[in-house]
Amino acid sequence: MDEIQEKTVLLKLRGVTKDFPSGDDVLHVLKGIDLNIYENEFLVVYGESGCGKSTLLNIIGGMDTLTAGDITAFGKDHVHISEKELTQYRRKNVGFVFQTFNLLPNLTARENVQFIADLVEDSMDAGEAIEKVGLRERAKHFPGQLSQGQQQRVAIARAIVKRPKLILADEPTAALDYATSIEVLSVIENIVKTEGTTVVMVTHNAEIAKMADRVVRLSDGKLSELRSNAKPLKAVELSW
Amino acid sequence: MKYTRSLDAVRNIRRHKASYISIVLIAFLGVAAFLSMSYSSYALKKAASKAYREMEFRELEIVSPLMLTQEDLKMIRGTEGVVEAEPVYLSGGVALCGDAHKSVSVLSLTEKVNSAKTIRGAEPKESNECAVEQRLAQELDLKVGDEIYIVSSDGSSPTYLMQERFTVTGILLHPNHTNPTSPETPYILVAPDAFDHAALDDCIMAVEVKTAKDRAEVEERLTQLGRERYMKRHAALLWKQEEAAEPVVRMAETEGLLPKDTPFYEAVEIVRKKAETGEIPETYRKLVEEYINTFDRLNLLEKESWIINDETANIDYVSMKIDCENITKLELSFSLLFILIGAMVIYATIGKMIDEQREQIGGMKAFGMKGSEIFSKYLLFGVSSTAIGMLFGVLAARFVFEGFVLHSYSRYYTYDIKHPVIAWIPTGIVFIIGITLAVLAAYIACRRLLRLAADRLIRPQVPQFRPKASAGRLTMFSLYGRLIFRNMRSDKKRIAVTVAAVAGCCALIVTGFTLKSSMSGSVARQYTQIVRFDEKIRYRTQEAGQMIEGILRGNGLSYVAVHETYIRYQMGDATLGRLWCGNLSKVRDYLQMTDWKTGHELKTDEKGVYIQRRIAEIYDLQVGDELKLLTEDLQTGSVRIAGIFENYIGSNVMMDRETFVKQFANEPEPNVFLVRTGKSEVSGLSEQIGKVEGFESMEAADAERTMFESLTSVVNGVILLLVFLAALMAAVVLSNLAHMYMLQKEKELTIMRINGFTVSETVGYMVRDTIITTLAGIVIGCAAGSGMAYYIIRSLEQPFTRMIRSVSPMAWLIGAGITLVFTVLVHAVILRKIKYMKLSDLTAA
Ligand SMILES: Nc1ncnc2c1ncn2[C@@H]1O[C@H](COP(=O)(O)OP(=O)(O)OP(=O)(O)O)[C@@H](O)[C@H]1O
Ligand SMILES: [Mg+2]
Repeated sequence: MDEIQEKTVLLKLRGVTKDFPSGDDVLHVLKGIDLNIYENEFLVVYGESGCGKSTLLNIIGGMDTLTAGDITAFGKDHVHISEKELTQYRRKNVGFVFQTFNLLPNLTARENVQFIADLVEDSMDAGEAIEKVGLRERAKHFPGQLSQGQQQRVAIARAIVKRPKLILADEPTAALDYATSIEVLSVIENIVKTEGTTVVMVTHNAEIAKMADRVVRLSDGKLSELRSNAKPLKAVELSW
Repeated sequence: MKYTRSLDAVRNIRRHKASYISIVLIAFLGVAAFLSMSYSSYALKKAASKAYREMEFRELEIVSPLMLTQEDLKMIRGTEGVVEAEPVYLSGGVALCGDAHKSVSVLSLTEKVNSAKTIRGAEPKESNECAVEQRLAQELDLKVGDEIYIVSSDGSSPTYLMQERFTVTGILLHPNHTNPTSPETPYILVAPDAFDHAALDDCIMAVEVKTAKDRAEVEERLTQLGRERYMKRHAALLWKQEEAAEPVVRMAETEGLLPKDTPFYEAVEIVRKKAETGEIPETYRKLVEEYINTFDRLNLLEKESWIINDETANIDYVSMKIDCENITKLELSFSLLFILIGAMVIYATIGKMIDEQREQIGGMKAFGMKGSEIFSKYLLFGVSSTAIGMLFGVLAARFVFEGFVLHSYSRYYTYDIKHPVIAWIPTGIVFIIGITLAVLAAYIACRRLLRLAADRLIRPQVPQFRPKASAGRLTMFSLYGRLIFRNMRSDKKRIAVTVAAVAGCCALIVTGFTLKSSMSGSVARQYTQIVRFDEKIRYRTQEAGQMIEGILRGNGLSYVAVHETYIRYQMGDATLGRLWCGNLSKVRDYLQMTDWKTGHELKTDEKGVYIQRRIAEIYDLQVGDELKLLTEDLQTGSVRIAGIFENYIGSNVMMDRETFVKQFANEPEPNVFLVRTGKSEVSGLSEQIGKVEGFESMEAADAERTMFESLTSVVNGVILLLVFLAALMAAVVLSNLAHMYMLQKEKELTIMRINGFTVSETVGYMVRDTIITTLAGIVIGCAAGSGMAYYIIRSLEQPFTRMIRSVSPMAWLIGAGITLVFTVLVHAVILRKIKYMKLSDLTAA
């Protein structure tokens, strides 16, 4: 615990609440979340389907607003900021990986990465990012010519190419089979290690949670458990 | 269809409301545009045929250069297939009423054929009663009970009437004159007994005929009869003429001008020569000249026959036909574009929807659903929307637009045309075409996807091209450019449809405005460049001419005197022309004559007739060809064409004096002054001239404008309607396409926004493609619109109108402008979505 305390806090969430209007009623999805996210940690958000994992991730990523509570992100107030500042926040600080890969079908793997790289000044070389996810041979293939795992790896390359401090991954392996999942998870694991990035990954797979430095368990919109893994497992050691 | 499948199909429509409604709207607009024209033309035809039936409009009209005898009439009546035949007496004159006077045609009333319709009062019965046409009554402010005088137009040619003074008993409409704005001489109608039959030698000017069914056969029989009867009459007249020559020859003999026992024909020749050299004593000269004139004229007429006219000899009937044809022409050419655009939009919409539902279709196929079962869902979408749109189109055409078109035409008809109808045949055809197109479009859009195996449908599509090896770091621009280029290439269908739709809408607008500018430009060119005089003064006697000339000279005005008469081209349907005869080298300063081919001023020193371009085009005439003409007093002549000049409005024909004398054996005495007043009102000029005894009329040089404007104003109204519908269609099509494009790109744009692309960067990414498609569409649209306008202009042209046929850059500007404004507006609305896009939707998926 001490070791972790010394780390820099990237995001500080206090009493984060999210309601969705649902008919005449209000659906309380997040009911007061307190959470610190540190630099260069691998944080897994784990929980049942529908407990609000994605909602939390969207709020952290600046894609959705919260109903109540406070967030400080990268030392700045994250709640009372304009849409423009949110865009800049996403542009500079965050990389995204989704369950569906969402690549542009008319760009090759490398071009997909380049397309995002061009958004920032000090980006990684697109080729380098592709290499980091182990797809050098496939750089010139279009998404339609890649396997699902390969497409997800392109998505990861796209997320890291901006050299963001924070990568958000929402069930990146949910659509993949076991072997492919391990492939993708290894890449993510590697990135935390070599790039000094913080990765927040959502999963409902308890086994995958074992990879994390810390695991946040959500149930019914509340933080029900926060546990540090003394010895995180390597991706290749997982089995399900 | 199974219940759940129907449910799915219906929900699919509900989910794609916007696309569905846009197809409904497009089908609506296309059908409304087409059918409102189609119905109008049908309603006009129907109203016309009803009116003509009620007025018992004659089917054939027989006239003869030698007039017709009572015997002829009897024979005509006896001809097989002739149901009715009534004689008509006709003469020209001037109606005087208070200070007002007006050239009129006096016509005898008929009972069973060509019956007039009484508006007020009653038909004249006595020989001192008359009725006037409604438009003449309006012009001269005549009422039942008024008195008018009908006098000879030049003081010498007889009116053949028993009286000069008439009481107006009624105001009528005559079937020969159904266009109240027509420039033709108005009618005064009298009882047949008002004519002096003795002076007419018991002859008839025309016979109006109604026939039994086989009109062509009847016409043939009458032609045959005409040939025989004409020959007989010609011979009889010659004989009479010879009898009349007796005293002349005898006179010459007694005067000692002839050797004794000179044979008759030689004697005539000798007398003629002596008359020319002036060797005949003054006292006899007039007698001799008159005799020789009629004799010559008779000889000229030798080879002729009766002239049998059908309806097409009636100008107002023809202009009704032209109106119908014009509506049909506009309808056909405009609708083609509407249909094309409509079909493409259905195709694109369904194609997009199917692309969007690839995976879903893949799933259904995987479950074993047949292609035809899946297709039925999309078929329902396309066909039901098209059918609903067409239904509304029919209603709008019938209850809104048709009324508008008929209303704009109604002031050109004396009979009531405002009875909107539904024409079932075009409606049926439109429905068949519309549904067929919808089915085809849906089928073509579905065909490829439905054939693909299920697993292929679930994967993302691979672009159909290899990426080029790219060296080094790509710049923002090159990657962007490449991406947009590839996006367009892999989305060819949408691009093609968008370009075509933009082009189609732009073309419709360009066509409309090219037509408009061509029509107004033609008027401008005619009256600023070609017509170089301001007033036309008509007079009846040479004395009047001298007095008017004095007034003109006194006012320091420049003028030229010509002989004006009307001729018919003896070709096709006997088009009318206004002949000016005089010193052409002077006349052309008042009516510019530029060569139709070189554009240079024509030399007017060649002898012959100068015709306007349209006549040359219609009858395929060249300089040097012989042209057959028929004059007002039914003389014929064959004249060499000396030149062809540019003329836009009216039907000008020019001839030099010598040619006229040679052809028609009389002197073309001037009866018109063309006067240049420099546009400024010359104070008191019309009063001064109006007082001259024998003055007939003074009218502005652009009096014929009305004739052209009656053509253009209605066409303008129709064009306005079509352009309005086209613009609406442009708006609908563009928003539909933009909307679909947006839906298609939504995921991509969300990803971009999530990754930190700003709103303006994202909009910029979308807009690039739109800019390219819109510009391409506009360029193609301008070209297509100009082409279509050219086609329509050529088909709208009449013998008396030539229109500017060149492209109109102004129309391009307007077309491009309207299209651009629409594109910008539509995209401004649709691209706003980018700003309010929900980024969390992507993860929720
Ligand atoms: N836009 C929305 N409007 C209304 N309710 C929403 C919306 N987004 C999410 N919800 C609801 O909020 C709850 C949490 O959704 P969320 O997507 O965060 O769950 P999750 O934990 O990610 O589930 P899963 O593991 O299935 O992805 C769900 O009950 C969902 O129905
Ligand atoms: Mg989720």
